[in-house]
Amino acid sequence: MIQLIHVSKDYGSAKKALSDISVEISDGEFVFLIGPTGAGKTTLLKLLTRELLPTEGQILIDGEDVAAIPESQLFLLRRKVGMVFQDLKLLMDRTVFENIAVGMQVLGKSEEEIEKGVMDVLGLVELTDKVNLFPVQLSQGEKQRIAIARAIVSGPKVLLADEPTGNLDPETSEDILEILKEVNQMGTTVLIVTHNSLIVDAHKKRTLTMKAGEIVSDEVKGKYHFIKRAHHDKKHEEHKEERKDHEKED
Amino acid sequence: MKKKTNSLWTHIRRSPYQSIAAVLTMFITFLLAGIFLLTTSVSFAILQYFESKPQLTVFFLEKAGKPEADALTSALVGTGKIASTKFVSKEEALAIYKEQNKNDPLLLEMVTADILPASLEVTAKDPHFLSELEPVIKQADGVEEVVFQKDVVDSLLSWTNAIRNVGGVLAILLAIDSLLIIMTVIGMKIALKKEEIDILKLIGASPWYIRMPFIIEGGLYGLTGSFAAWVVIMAIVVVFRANIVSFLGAIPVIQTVLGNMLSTTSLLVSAGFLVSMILFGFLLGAVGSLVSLGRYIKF
Repeated sequence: MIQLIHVSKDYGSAKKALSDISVEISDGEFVFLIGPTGAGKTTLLKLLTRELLPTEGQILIDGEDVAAIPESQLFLLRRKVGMVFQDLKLLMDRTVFENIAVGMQVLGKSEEEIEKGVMDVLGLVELTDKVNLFPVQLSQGEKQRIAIARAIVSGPKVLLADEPTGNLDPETSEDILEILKEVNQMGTTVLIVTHNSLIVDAHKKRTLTMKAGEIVSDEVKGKYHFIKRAHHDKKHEEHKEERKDHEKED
Repeated sequence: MKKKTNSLWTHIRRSPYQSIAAVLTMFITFLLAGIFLLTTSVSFAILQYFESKPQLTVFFLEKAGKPEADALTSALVGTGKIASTKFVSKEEALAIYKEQNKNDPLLLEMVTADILPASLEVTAKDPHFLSELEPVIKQADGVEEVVFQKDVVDSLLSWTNAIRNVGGVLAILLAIDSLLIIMTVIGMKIALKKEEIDILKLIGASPWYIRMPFIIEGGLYGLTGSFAAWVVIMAIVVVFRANIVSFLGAIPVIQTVLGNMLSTTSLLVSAGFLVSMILFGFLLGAVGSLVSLGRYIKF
């Protein structure tokens, strides 16, 4: 479903944002993409939705070369690839119903189809009672669910989620993950970018780990250990530096 | 559809001053363009009327009459350049005068056949022959004055051209002004909705799905402005109808259209004028929006 072949992305600075990445995600897979801040995870997602173009390499989604799609036809790619944005990108002046409905309106669906589709996904994210509320009247977890509902209402083949559990308590994060797993069970390929070690460790799904623009590990039942270890290593180095400084001062 | 209409109405309601400015500009453009169009059309009707009239009228001296006219007719026919002639006696001239002023008794008082001259209406086979006929006429007995319709037609033509040119230039300048106003208003609305547009692009909206509400909005400004202009122009026409008919009623087109405003012809002309105005209004607004979209949104 998703293929990255020797993909690099260069923003013009000395360090590449992505460096020679090759990875394949099959149809119907559920994958976590983890890594420290600045590792290139969001850049990778933006390449998949063609918000950015790769400097080198090729990206294929459903067999189609993403970079070769003309600007005027980009909407067809984006209908295949649903996205839950890190900042959610909800329309604050529209109700929950309208926010989700827009995902089907852009496809030119009839009002009856939209009504049914929206109520179905609202059932899936368990927010049918909030249908007429505005985003400001919802909790963060509820907003996350609305963003997911909008991303899946049009039935995309791929769902990309950028930090869908960011700023959420463990219980709500788990609820969100369950919804995403349910979407995956319906046949959608799901790729989740996350920092949440609890959900990665708990769900034991394929996990791609990125560091400094490279994929450093690809585990079938991954854990967040790389990041933990990297974090510990970093802390250890900091302690060593501090100790040296103290010794010098003494 | 209902949702789309509501959404469009919300867009307009949220920035009412820009919307009013756009509609008013369109209104002024179409009001002036419509007035100039009607004035030019009436001028052309007058022009055609005079062109269909005899090309030359010979007025005789008070004492002269039918014998002098017959002699002149023979002389003119002899040139082989005459299509037709018609003698109008003093009595016939009085009858025509009475018919033309039947609604104004003051003008009929004290007027007798004696003070009106007899005349001969002459139509040449070709208007170019008129200058060759002039010496023949002037040498004839009893001729007081020769009036060439060509002079009237030339004068009318120059006025009509002037009205058309001034009106045309003004209409074009106002249309450009309207286009710029619509572009500015729609540009501001695009800027206000930039975030929403970006979201729509990311969730798979086609370029036309994003463009269409703005195009319809621009078109609606044009349509509303042009419709209001049509209403005002029609009101002006209705108010001044009696004066126009009494002044220009001899012209058949004007009599047909304005003689009875409820006649089929009159209603059809009004409806055609309305359709043309709102069609151009919508197009002008829509084109303004399209240009603005091309400038502010890249697909």
